[in-house]
Amino acid sequence: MAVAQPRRRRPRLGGVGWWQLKQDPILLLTVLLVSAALLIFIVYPLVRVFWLSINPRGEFTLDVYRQILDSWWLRQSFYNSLLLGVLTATFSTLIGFIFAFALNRTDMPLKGFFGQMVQLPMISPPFMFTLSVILLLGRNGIVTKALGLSNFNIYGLNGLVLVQTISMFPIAFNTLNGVLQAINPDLEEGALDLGASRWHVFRSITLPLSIPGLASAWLLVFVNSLADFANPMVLGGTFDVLSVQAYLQFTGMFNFPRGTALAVMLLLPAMTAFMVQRYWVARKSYVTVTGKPSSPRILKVSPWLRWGLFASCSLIILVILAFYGTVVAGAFVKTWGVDFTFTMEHWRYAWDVGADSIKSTLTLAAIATPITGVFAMVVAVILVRKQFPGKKILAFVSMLAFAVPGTVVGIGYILAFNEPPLLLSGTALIIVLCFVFREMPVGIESGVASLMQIDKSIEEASTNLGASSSYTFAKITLPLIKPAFLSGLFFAFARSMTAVSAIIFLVSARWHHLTVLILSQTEIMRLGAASVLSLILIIIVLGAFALMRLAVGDTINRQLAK
Amino acid sequence: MPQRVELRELVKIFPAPGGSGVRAVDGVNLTIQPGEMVTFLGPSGCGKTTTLRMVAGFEMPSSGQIFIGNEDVSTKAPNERDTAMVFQSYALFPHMTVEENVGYGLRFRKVSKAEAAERVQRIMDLVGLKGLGKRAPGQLSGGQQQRVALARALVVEPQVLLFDEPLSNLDAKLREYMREEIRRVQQELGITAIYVTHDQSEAMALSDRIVVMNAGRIEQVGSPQEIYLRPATRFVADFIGKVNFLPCKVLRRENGSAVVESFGRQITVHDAPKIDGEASLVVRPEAMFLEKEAGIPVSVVSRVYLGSAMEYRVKLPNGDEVTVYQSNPNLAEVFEAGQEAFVKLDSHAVHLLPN
Repeated sequence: MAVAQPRRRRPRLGGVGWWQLKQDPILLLTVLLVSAALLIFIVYPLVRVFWLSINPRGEFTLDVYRQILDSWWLRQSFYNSLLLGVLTATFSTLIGFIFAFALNRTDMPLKGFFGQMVQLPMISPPFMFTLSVILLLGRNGIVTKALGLSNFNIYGLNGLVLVQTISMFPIAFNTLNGVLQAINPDLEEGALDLGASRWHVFRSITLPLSIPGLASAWLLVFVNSLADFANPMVLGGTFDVLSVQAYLQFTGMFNFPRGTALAVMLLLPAMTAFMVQRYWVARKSYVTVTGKPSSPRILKVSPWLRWGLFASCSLIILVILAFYGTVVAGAFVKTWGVDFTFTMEHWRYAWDVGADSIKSTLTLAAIATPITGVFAMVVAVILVRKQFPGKKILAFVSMLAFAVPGTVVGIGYILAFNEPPLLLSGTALIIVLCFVFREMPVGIESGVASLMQIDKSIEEASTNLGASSSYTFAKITLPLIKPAFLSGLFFAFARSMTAVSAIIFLVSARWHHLTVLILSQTEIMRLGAASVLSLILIIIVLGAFALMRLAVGDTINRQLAK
Repeated sequence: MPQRVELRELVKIFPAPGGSGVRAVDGVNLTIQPGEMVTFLGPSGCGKTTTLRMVAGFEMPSSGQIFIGNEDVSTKAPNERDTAMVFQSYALFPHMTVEENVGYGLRFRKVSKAEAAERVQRIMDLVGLKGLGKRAPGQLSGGQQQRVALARALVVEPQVLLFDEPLSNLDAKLREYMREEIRRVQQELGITAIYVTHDQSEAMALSDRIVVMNAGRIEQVGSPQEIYLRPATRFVADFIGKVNFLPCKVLRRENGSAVVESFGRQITVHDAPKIDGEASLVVRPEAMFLEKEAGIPVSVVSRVYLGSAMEYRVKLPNGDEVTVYQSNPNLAEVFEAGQEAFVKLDSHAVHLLPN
């Protein structure tokens, strides 16, 4: 017999949060501080950029945009940006999918090695590949000379697509790798078992299930290609793109309104692609229906496919390694393309011009990294574990830096923090703040992901046994998210060390950045010095990576030992 | 057409660090008749799923052969074999509707569009999915998803239907209901089926014959009754339901039966294996009766009320503890812990095994 249950009051969904905020003053304070910081250092600079572009002389006008659209070469840079983005995104997605498929769905040899090598471009200085391409295929490049290609010109669209694809396809790979790992191999086996051929299984199951992932990967690379500044700056030649034009207009011609308008034109497609990726494509993804997770299984593939994939992956990795080798060689030979005798001359010169930059870059990154890490973790915790009004907006704004090209941020910071009470330009603080708010989303993402993994009942068990919520956080939650925290720290550090597009607006004589120095050395064709400085940068980043691995491994080992 | 399935000296060795490899399946011989439903039952790691996956073609045998009908399919690819599997995870294609899922396998068989549509409808009616064809798999309940997985495998009318623990993601009530459904549909279509599970009650309810596996080998093949009442080994006796082993001594044999003595009492075991001297009596808890007089003297250790039965732990004269069920305990006399009592055995439900 059914017994009438006393109706229990459920918390109303609509008014969620106000009540909790009043109950929890620490949460209230945290939310207020985080919101204020995001408003001042993310939203406000963007508003200033937009504002100046429509208020060039203190009154509202669209003249600046009209002038841009009227001049063919500025219009062209808009089309060029999009064209470069489309080509890079397409090639990167294709290569990323080849790698992801080969690593997840075949028994290709050397998979572990390929899996590691694929990540190499992620931690390289942003235009290191441009440097190698100039050394290999430039006017004095060894390949150019060896093949006697006197009319060959790598500067322009072709070179840019090559360089951007090599440096950005790992973004596509990482997205698609996750997607393919999430597709239950039972689905493919089920189709095979019902009589589908391997090709048909791929066409009717694997590919359709990967389409949201392919779209995601494409859009992410597209955003990155649009935002890229250093590669087109050096390798663009006559091929103008928006990020470079905005920079030149702003710092070279001091045409601030036009610089901001170009920045807005750069921001719009980037934001659109980002929003489509995050709020539409990501939702389309198929969640695998029930069932316990199955172990990864490999369907047998034909030797043709296996060795074809092996050859393709090997080729890409060989190109990456050749690029690295070229930079190493470039650091030790006298005059590239003319005199290949061994020398340490570039190291002496690089140390003379670069020692201060190295020191200041390291100092700034070292200050910014822990702040970024802690701030990102705080945001991640309140996003995952707390309810408060405006949470969705806060989540959106905190991720905005993924979508906003560095050029736009750099211009925004110059405009926003050039007058009291926030007179920051020329200081170390403005660079640190730029690092913190640009690199924070990576930390938030990894924090959110690892917090979601921790079943709330683990924390409930702790409070149930008598621990306070702060004790629970310190002794239960924190140790569990420590690996994610440490890897977030590393990426914040690596990205701070290799940042260039926003930082180039913010450096000063007192506070310089290594990447900006490498860029200027490349531009004046001091390629030996540029190679040396790139190598130093890579060594620092790899050293930090090793430290992070050591720390993470240590944590995990200790957890296992207990 | 339902076909005979034959496994000959089937062996599967998985490579393992340290050279020799793991013999997951170690010399399995079995013939499954057309239209028969055979269940592979055993603890996890016994090789039952590997055997099934070899029949489907997902794993290649290290040695031995698999015949479907008169054809050796041992080295054929899964899509070249006429088998269809119902997966534990259901493996429904999330980007297709229920109808598209069910009709998927017909794309690879020479079936006209109209006939395919008709067959999909018919099979969906048969498994109770009427009217759900346009839904996405994610919109269905666990039981409905299970039916889609079943329909998708049935619609191609495979020579052999394979089940890989298909009910383990359902709750207990639904599991019991679905196993009857599966049995009904299998018998209605007269299809040859192999079913893998570690749940003995599922195996009993579903199968014509049960194959009990352990450590890659077959321990026993037989009907559910044979497996339960006349287990061939101690492993089988122990794995299927609760069981007691009583020490006994074979006194003499009389045309197939054996007369044994246990704790001073004589009992006749029908159809007993040929064993001499010391042996073990295999007795199920429900084949033992707890009484006030006459029988093996025991003392009651504890009792648990289960509703339909009372479960007693009692101590034999040699100190061993055994389990005794008293059915319909609401009518019978209840014994308390510490009380002395006597145990009688049902001679039709005892079995003999060597020590």
